[in-house]
Amino acid sequence: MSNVKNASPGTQVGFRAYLWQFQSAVVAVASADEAGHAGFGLGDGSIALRPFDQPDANTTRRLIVHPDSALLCLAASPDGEGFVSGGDDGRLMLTTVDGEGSELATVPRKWIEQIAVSEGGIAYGAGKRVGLLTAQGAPVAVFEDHPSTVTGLAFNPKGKRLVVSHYGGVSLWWTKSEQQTAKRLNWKSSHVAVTWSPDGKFVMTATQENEMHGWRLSDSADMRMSGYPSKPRSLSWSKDGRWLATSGAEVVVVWDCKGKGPMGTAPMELSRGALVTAVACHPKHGLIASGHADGQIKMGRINDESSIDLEKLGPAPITSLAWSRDGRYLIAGGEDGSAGILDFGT
Amino acid sequence: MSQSLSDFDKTPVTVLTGYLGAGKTTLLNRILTENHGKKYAVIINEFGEIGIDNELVVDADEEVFEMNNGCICCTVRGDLIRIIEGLFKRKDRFDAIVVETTGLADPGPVAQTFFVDDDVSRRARLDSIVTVVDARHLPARLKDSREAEEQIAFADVIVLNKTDLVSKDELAEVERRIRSVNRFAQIHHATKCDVDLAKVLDRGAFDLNRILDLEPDFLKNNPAHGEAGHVHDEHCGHDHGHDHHHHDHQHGHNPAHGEPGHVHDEHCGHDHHHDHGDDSIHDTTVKSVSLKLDTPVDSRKFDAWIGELLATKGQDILRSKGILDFKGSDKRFVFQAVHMIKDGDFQRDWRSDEDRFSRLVFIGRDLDRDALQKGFEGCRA
Repeated sequence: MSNVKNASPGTQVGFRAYLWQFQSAVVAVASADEAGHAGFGLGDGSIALRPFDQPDANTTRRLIVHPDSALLCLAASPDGEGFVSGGDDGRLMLTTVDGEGSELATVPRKWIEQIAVSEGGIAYGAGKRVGLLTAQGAPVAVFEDHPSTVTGLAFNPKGKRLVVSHYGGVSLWWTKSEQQTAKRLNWKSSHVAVTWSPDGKFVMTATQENEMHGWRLSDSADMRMSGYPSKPRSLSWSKDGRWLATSGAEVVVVWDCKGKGPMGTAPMELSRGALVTAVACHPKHGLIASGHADGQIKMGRINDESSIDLEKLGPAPITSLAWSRDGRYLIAGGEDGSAGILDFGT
Repeated sequence: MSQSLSDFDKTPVTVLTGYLGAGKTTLLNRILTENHGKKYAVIINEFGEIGIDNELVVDADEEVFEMNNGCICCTVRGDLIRIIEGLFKRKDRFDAIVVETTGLADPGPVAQTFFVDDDVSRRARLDSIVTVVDARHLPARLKDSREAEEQIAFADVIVLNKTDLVSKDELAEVERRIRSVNRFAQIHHATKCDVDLAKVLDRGAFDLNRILDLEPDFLKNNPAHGEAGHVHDEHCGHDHGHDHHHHDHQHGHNPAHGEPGHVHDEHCGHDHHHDHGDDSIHDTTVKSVSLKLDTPVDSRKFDAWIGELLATKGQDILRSKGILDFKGSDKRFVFQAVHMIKDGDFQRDWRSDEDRFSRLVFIGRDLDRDALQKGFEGCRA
């Protein structure tokens, strides 16, 4: 169960891997940093918990958060003491690692499929509706004016604005309760995920056509980055905001977003293997963890474009990866219920 | 993308179409309540009136997305992509999926979703398209609705419901109308949708190995409906109100990513636009054309011809199926397509006691039988 791996020549990465298997799919993983727990959102509607300081198999606790339903999205709560989750029961739940749950919102007969969290607030998407709440979960506003079902949400770095992806482009909202009209950035496509760059300059989406689309907010200029064999749905920014790592190819495709943006530049390609299904940039160093369709987890290094195999979680695609805020633990989950915590501490 | 139209270890999806009031809901309720050994997740449309509170009934808003490459075969149901992915997060709870569409829905985008989207096609396969029609009202529907016609054209199985409300002659006439549009669907008569569910579910209609088992008529030397030629004639010479524009568009698919089975790249340079502004006096414009060759076909000539045909006419050719006797092969080659998305494979050996021949059936709009026949004959080895 535990091992220390010496990687390919020239690169030594020591870690301990704790791997196990759930009965149902791991939908999403997250790190509740203040509470020191990894959370695994499962298809059976529960959240499984592992404390980082004792990641052994017999300590798993399960919180039944969406009974008889599927959990569809998960994020750490803004205070880092627990998790926010949405399910196909139409409920948005806030749950602490101690098992205290509170229902933050319900949307009858809809699925809550999208969640975004910032220090200042929580947003969820259900059908065409986006709900905005305070970090404590009090309702702030509901934005209904979207042309189709909401497919992605992201706050800007300051938490003052929220971007919503949907068919035909994205909508930008201010995170306040006042009546407002969204600013629309249009691009004819079905946009299936969205992210806001840490420097605030770019909004980037993944599209149904297996491309990345981007807007430079200073002048709304379009950027289009293609060449993916699959939808680049997992998006992760490096700590310094310069690099955007994306899934959707047999390498981690990393765009250099300094200056005017990545359009027309050749991306860096890291960690070649099976189709990349999840990416997570290390919160401190220039490292990118990737999960692949064959269950392999790899790590690539930006400055020398090297990469190593970390661990094979199971035979099924990796669905989600997340680092603890201190960068010591990598949390991973797979479509077949395989799960793991990789401890890079010494 | 490496899926074919016939991957069989995947979750089967039955698409249920039909006009409001035809009896879809009755059939759905039966699928959900009767003991047929399978658990179905059911995706209903927003107007669905399903009377059953079931955790596996999902409401969908029919969100038809045209992908920005402008290619009609890339028009998909965005909501289905999301819902099917969501359902697979609790895959242990169901064995199969039924998608109900509104009466106004064009079945094309629903069908195409299962071939165009990788995330869907990785785990789900289109099993068959089932259309419920009302024997009494179908003639009127066919007059005023393009969708009613398309739903029949796309169907693998047609439940001809409410047969108790029409006379024997009327029923024969309705059936003739259906046959003129779609020669190869299986038709089951029903009153109150009391059709054997085994004839509706788990048909494998897109399984190349089963296509011919399901449609014995398909192989008959002489089209089972000898009056087929006669039927065709009555639809010829209509003004179909089509306005064909040529759009310049860039097709977004990158051929470098090589997706065998997909023919996206072959039809990049065109986009037919249908203008149905003056369609108020609509009559059936969709028909079936069946072609046959008694001497072997050259596989390369056939590939080139069918590729070009679907690339240029694939918008109007809704479905096609075929069995081919390729020169130099002892195996039967089976072919099918939904609009421009095609699939084909060698099947079993020709038996020594059977006639070897090639047959193609096209269901579509504005089909030029003579041109098709000529093109097919050009494929002779």
